[in-house]
Amino acid sequence: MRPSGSNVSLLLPPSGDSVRVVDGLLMQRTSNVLAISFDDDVTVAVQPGEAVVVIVHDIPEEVLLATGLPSDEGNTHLRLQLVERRT
Amino acid sequence: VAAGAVAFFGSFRTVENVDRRELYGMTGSVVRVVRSTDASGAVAHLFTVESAAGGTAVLRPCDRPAKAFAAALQHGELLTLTAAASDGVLGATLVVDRWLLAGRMLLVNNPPLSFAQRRDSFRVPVTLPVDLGLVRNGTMRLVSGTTNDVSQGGCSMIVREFLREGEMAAVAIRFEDRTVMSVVQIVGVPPDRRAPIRARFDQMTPFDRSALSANLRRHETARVRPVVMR
Repeated sequence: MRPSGSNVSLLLPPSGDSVRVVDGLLMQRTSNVLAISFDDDVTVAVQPGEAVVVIVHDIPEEVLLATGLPSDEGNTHLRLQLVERRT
Repeated sequence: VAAGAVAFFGSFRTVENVDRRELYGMTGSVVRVVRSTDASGAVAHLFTVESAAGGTAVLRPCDRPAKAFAAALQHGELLTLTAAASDGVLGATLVVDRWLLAGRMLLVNNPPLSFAQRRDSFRVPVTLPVDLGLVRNGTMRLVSGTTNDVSQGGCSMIVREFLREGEMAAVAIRFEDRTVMSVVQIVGVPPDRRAPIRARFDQMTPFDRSALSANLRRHETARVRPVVMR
């Protein structure tokens, strides 16, 4: 488990015409799972298997690809599974 | 064909060699020219290849800025020429001979062209809307663009934004039936900002990879028109 509390930005797949960018806070991070929380007025839903790009604003900044996981924590919390790098 | 340098970067390959392509074969085509000493980010000037034979090639400026650029060149200055090919990029370093004031044409030497193919997989020329998420000042900045071509390994796209070579970005490529999400690494930013930037797919889900493959196959098949035999 690594230290948490970093600001993150998510690029969400389009629902309708445009893709969406939301900001959140990385609460927990293991080798392959991210737990992210959002402000109360932000609604985020990612279907299991759906791809999301996560930018971790830390030093150095990381750009990660993750997919949705089944979650019962509501829309202000999200769990994502990291996708392995190609190389 | 004289083989050149071959470098491997993981599964991503850069192959450069000198092949039989010459400036003569590009007569009438548009090429991009910048001073070799100019830093990246300089706007390239457009010329057409008027003729090329023996040790001399003649370039005609396409517009007024290109003409002013050519007129200011000195004998012996080095220029970098690039030209798009269907399967990669052609390039050469030119040496200025002189500017012909009366004919308004630039005389340069006639070197062999080098050819760079940066992808392992076949590029499908396809124009698709693309959203690029860039890391800027602690936030993600979303910019729009269009693809120039797409392959299994990466894509080239035209984006009105300054990008750094090597930076990572989020990308959403809008195919007709679904959007393919990926993390890309910017691997090529041409000096001419009007030219497409090149990106390599760094991370992609198996579902998106399958969707990419199916859509590329569909686009490539659609380009082939059946011919009625009489």
